Amino acid sequence: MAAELISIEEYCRHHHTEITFINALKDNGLIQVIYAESSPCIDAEELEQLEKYTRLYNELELNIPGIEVVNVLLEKMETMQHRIQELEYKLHFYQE
Amino acid sequence: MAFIDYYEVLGVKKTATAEEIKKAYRKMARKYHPDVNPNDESAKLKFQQINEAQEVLTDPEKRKKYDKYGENWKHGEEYEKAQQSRGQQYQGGESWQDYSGNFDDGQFSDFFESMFGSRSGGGRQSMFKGQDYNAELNISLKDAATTHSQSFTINGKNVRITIHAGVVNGQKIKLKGYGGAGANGGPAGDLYLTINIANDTEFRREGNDLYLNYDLDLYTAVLGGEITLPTLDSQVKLKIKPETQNMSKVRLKGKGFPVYKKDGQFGDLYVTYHIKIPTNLTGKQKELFQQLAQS
Repeated sequence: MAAELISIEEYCRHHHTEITFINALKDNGLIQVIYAESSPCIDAEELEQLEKYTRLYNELELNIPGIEVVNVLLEKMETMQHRIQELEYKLHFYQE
Repeated sequence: MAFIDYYEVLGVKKTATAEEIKKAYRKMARKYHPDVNPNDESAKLKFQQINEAQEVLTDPEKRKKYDKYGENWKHGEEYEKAQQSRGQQYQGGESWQDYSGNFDDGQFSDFFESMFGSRSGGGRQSMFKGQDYNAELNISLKDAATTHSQSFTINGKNVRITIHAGVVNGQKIKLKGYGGAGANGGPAGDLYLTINIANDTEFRREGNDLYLNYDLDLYTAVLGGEITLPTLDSQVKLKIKPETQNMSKVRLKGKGFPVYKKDGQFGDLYVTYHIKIPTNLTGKQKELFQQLAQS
């Protein structure tokens, strides 16, 4: 199935964001840029993540390395929460 | 409605400069921002409080008003009303109504609303994300083993989602934008859907593996044979070795639960044999068992 693409230009216009910020995210491997007819786009599935990076940048004034660190820690936290949920489920099963 | 000490919320002195307040706000926002505290309601509440505090303390007019009445804000309100009732003589600064607007998101405290009215009437307007909602979706274990769509209505919106095979009991699915409406052009909140899986099968699920207790008749256990075993979605034929012991286990690789979002990957099915001793034996059968016992 073809991916739904969102033009980066359109994203920047909508979110009042500089293209340099998107390029910096791309250079640091935080997002993947896809070129559709030589126009840079992102996969719609990455939109939520990109919006989060934008908020971290604009609202918390984090720089790119800061965003990268936060992202890694959040991923670790999510994995741990998922593991806790699984363990709680197992514990619940044995307590029954 | 309790008085809120905005200086205390931001951890600054009453004499703090605008720059000190901004600095304190930035520091606390980094700590409590919802993006760095996912699914943490207490952090979200704290973030709303510090937003409210900075809204008041970084706006010179609001801060002046807040400092003027402070803890005696209730009396301040009475004073204002009294002034208004005396022929609208009060001209200084803004009236309560100057701040009134359509802000009904409920993100700010009653105290704030009482003192400043709606925040949309003056000063800088920040966008606020709408409230996140939580809901539960009940599905069966068999449903959880197949990728399928579910439709439901929440707050008047029809939602159609795809539940991927292998979803875990208690797993939360985030539906972006299906929460409460945002304020001042802010995005809508999100809907967190918790999947509750009811197990109405004879299988026990642990992670991606399934466990099944199978009652095996004595004769097949002793002599060996072939059985038809149920799996979650079909049946498999299985050879039984002669002299199979009670409570012995076999593993059927890849016959367990699908792995979440990994097409074609499955856990294993573990079968425990429970050997059933025949009952209501005839005289002849008892005699044969006695012969066996003596042999």
